[in-house]
Amino acid sequence: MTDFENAIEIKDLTKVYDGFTLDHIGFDVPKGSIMGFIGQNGAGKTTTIKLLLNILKRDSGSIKMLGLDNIENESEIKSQISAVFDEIPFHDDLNAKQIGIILSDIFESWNKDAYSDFLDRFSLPHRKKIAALSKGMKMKLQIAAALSHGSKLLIMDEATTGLDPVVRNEILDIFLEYLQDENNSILMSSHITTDLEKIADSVTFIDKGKILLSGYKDDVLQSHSIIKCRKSDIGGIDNSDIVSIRTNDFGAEVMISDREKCLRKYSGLTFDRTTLEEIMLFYVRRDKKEWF
Amino acid sequence: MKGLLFREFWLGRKYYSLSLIMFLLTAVISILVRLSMLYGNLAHVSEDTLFRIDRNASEIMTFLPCIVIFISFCVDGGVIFSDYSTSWFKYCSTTPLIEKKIIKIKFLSKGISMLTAFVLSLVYIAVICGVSGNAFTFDTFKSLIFLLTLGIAVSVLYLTLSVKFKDKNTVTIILFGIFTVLCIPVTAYTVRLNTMNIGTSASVTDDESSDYIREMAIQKLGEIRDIVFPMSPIIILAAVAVGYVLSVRFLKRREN
Repeated sequence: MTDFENAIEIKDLTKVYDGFTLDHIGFDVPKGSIMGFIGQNGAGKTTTIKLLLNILKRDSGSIKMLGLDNIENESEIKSQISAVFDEIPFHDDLNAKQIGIILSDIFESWNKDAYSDFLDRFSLPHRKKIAALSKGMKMKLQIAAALSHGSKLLIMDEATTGLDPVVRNEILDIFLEYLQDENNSILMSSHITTDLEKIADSVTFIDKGKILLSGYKDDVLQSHSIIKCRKSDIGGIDNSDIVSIRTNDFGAEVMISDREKCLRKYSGLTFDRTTLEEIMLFYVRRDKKEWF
Repeated sequence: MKGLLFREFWLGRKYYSLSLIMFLLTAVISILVRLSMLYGNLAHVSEDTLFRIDRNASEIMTFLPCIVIFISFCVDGGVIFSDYSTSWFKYCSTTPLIEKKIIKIKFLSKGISMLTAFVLSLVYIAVICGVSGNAFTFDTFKSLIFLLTLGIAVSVLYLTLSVKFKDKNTVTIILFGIFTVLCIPVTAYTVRLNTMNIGTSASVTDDESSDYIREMAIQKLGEIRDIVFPMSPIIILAAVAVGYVLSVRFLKRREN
């Protein structure tokens, strides 16, 4: 495996469907980091992940994973990555032990002891059928399988959706532990932004097949802000500074994308910190500009 | 390969177990009929009736367990469809497991099933021969090879159609359609035989007519078997090669 700076490099990636276009998107996931891939349902997250995994044919653009082209070096890449989906891909009739036997046949670097340790650590029964496991346990089993063959990159597609907060937290802790090795990286697609707020180093927002913004999470949170003001104050804010405006009976909330500049420009207004969820909400409605 | 093969048989184990039970039941019934003809109630019936029973027994009962095991082992109880419904194939496409290996495993598991059916049939026929005191003839061996060839061809067809259509109902309808089409010449041949037989004698009875048709059908089946027998290796190899190439291509087809 070549030396690489970014675990994932996407450039100018395009895919045209009937009624949906993934429009020349591009972003990098730096090695040793976790990137949150955020967007509402149908925004293009799963399409991007399918293109990454070469399950879907791309129309144009390039994808590099672990420093290698994702099509030319597909087999080499796939022995070093793991994908985790929202639904467990193993048959209900199998148990964790049998899954270990099967996966040892697929991954040359399968570590039987590591897998067994993960099962014990997650309190997963070795011989209980998958059908009898809870959704949280199924997800933990998938993650145990994903982490037991020395993969350098984890790709998660809505993997924490539908899990209770306790299990989600446990899983997030596992990811943080996985990232202790600086060669490991995670791309985590989700619309549960609170999870990403906790663990992501960088975030990429996608909407209607276009990247809205991509960068380090702290920078994104730092640069965005919400101005809480009266409706009559809105006219005093330049349109170019506004992402969108949420109005209610008591006033308005204006999302701005350059906090430093706006702090100087509109010193009489109140600036509140914002969250990834609010950024997503305000960006998704940016076309309307003003919404309720 | 061991783990993936284990997966195929473990997921299909209930279906395979049921098929084995069916085989054993029919085999035991067939052996009991044979024993009865030698030592039981059937040993005391009249010559004419015995002649009739014996012929029915040897023609139908003898090969019934073999037909049961070959037909049921042709399919896998729907493992391949659950591979689609559980997103197993989607998961595989995120691993180093290439399509050729996935199909190779499927074909290998079918090959093992067919060989098992063949060995079980051989053992059963040997028992029948031992019980009735008949020799294991070359014609019997040819019949088993004929069943094996047919079984492998149908297995390959089933697998290829399953990979292509991903849906049990669609595959069942297509296989049923193919079977129906194949039945047309058989039905036409039977009707022709019946017409010819009635035409030869004005006083022919139903029993005589069906005896005649059965005799002719078995004779024809024997002719087909004799034609197929020397070509069996070629038919098997061709079916596997074509089925394998097509299945890999169908599985490889990425979403557009």
